[in-house]
Amino acid sequence: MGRPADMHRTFGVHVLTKGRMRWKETTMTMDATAAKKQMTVTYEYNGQFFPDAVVPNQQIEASWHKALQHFAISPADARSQNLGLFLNGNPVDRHQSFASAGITENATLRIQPLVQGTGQR
Amino acid sequence: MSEPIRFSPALLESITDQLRTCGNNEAECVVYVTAANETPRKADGFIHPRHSRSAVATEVALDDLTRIWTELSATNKRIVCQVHTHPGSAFHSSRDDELPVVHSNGFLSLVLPAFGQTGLVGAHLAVYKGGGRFSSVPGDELSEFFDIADG
Repeated sequence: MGRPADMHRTFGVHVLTKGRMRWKETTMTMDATAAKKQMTVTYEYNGQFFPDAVVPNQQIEASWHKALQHFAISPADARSQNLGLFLNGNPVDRHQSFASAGITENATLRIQPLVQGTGQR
Repeated sequence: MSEPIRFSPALLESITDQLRTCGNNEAECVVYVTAANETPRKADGFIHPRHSRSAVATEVALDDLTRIWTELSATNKRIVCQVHTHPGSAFHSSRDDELPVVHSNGFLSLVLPAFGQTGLVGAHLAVYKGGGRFSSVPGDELSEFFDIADG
C-alpha cells in the first residue's frame, strides 16, 4: 500500500511489522473545516516554551523553523540529525502536516538533542 | 554582546568537585550548568547526567536527556553552559563540536584539563556559532563570558 496522496483527509502512520516499515491507513477522516481549525502547538526546548498558532493541514516544517529561530538555533542545525521533535515521548516526522502526524488539537512538541557527547571517540 | 554569566565561587567549587569525583583522575565527566529562566545570566546549580565513562569520551543517551528536559521544564530552568573534562590539555574536539547539549547560538562550553584536577587553570571556553561550529575564546577574554562572584 502506498502513502496516500491526500494527506489532509487520510491519516496514517508508519508502523514496524516484523522488521519492515510500512504505511498503515486508518479509517479516520477529517473534513475541510476541521483541517483549518485554529490550534496552538507549543514548542518546548531547554526549559523554555514557544507557542505557535497553526492549523491541522499545515506542514510542520515551517512552524518548526519558526520555533528554532525563537530558540536561536540556526537553519544549519535545523538539518542536524541530532535534533529531534517529540510528542508525548514519541518522535514526530516533521516532513508532513500536523494532521498527518495525528496532531489536530492543542499540543506540546518537545525539541531536544538525541545524544550529547564529548571527547575524541 | 550579552552580559557574562555569574557563578558563585561555591558553585564553581561544587562543579569541579563533581567532575573530579566522577572522573577519579581516569575518566572524563560532563555537567550542565543551569539558571532560572527569569535570571538566565546567574548560574544557580548544575545537573550531572548519567553518562558513559571512559578516559577519552562521555556520552549521554536520549532517555537521560529526556529526563533532564522534563526536569528543566518543571523547575522553570535552562542549561546555560556545559562543562566537561579532558585527560590532557583542554580544547574543543570535533565530537565536542558536533554533540552539544544545547544548539542555541551563544551557548557556552567549558573544557577543563587533567580530569579537572587543576580547576580553571588551563581551561578552554568555546561559544556555539551554529551548524556544529564552536568558536574558541582567548584566555584574556574569559571575563567577558564568566563573572565569578557571590550574589
